[in-house]
Amino acid sequence: MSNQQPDSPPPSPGTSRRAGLAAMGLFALLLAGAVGWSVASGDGEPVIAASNDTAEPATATATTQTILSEAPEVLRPRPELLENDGWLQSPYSSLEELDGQVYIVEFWTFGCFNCRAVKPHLRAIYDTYRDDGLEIIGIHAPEFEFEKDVEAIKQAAADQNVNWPIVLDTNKKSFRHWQEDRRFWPRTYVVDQNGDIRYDHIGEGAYDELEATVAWLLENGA
Amino acid sequence: MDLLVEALWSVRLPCTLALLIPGFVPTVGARSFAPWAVGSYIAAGSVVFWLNATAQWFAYPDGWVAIALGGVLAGMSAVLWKMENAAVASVAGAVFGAVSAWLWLPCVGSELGTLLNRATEENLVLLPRFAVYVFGVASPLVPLAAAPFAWPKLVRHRDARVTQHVVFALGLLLAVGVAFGYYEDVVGTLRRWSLQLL
Repeated sequence: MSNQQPDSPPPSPGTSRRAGLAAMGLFALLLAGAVGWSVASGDGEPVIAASNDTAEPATATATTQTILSEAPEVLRPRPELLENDGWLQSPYSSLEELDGQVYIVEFWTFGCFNCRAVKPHLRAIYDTYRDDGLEIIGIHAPEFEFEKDVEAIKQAAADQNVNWPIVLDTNKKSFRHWQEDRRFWPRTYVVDQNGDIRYDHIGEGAYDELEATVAWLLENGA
Repeated sequence: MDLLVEALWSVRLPCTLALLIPGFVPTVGARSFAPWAVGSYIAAGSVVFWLNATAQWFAYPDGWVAIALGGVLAGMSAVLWKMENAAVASVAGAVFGAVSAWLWLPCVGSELGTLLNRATEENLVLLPRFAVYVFGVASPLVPLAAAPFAWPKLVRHRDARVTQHVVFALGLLLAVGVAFGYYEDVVGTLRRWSLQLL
């Protein structure tokens, strides 16, 4: 335990106390300001962008106003899926079966608030473009132990209205392989008909750009 | 402001705890030098999170690097347990801040997402914005450090042998988790315990 005395004389109790109270007061003000800012921004959620592009709606509609003037850049070939633990609610058992198709890959975990916030937007895009050939693959890469339970994942998928195929990436092998050394939840990619990544976005937001990329690829091909 | 609000809001999310929970060790362990520990925790955490997000060469630690980091955390926990001074508080804060930011896999909201999607190269201009986010996430450490100054009766509890033993044990637990690749599981378990206690 504390065998050594502090190396500098402590400030007077009155000064320390005032400093402590000031720090507590500043923290309380900061917190109150943040809550006020969130409430003033609309729905009490912390999404504050002027655009409604990033807010979490109960439902979302895919009606993009963003039209790409040129083909989305080819970023890199899509990586492989590594050592996954199976697929849920899926007619596929490998990404190769999706060759020639446009599909969205989303890395998520069901305990992640921000991943949940993305879901209504993905669902709206899925509903709009599914008949044109779009597929979504949700790669579930759990952060915590409780997120590894398959029954819990199925329940969360039902709760979050995830009706697209899910890959179980329990040991986060694909999570690491796809994202290399910049790893985040959620992360969304669009893969084109040639198997190249044409869109890569970290976190919530940029749904117009996501939809525009999908629409462009479906209409013009890779 | 939006970025700070999002960071403050994210404190309640499980994903964020991997950056927050390790901060309890230097903050409580540093006792009367807690402000030094919190300051260096946030500063080091900001720089490492910025590097993590921007520098392509900054690899995620595993293997021997992770074992070495675990050893450093364990050693720092022991030093903190034994000694109370400004230098130890600052170094411990910096070590725990750096390691936790290095291992942190954040859940990303729109504001942090905007920042991360821009951060494809080491751009110093973005560092203050990463610091704002880390400050927001680690902000609960500020009242934790300040409360015993504001209410001196708390000093007895903070400095109690049992409190410091628990903090030392927490430091060791995190060190073992880092060294052997169970860091997220340790944080998840601590989260579950804290929810059960509440």
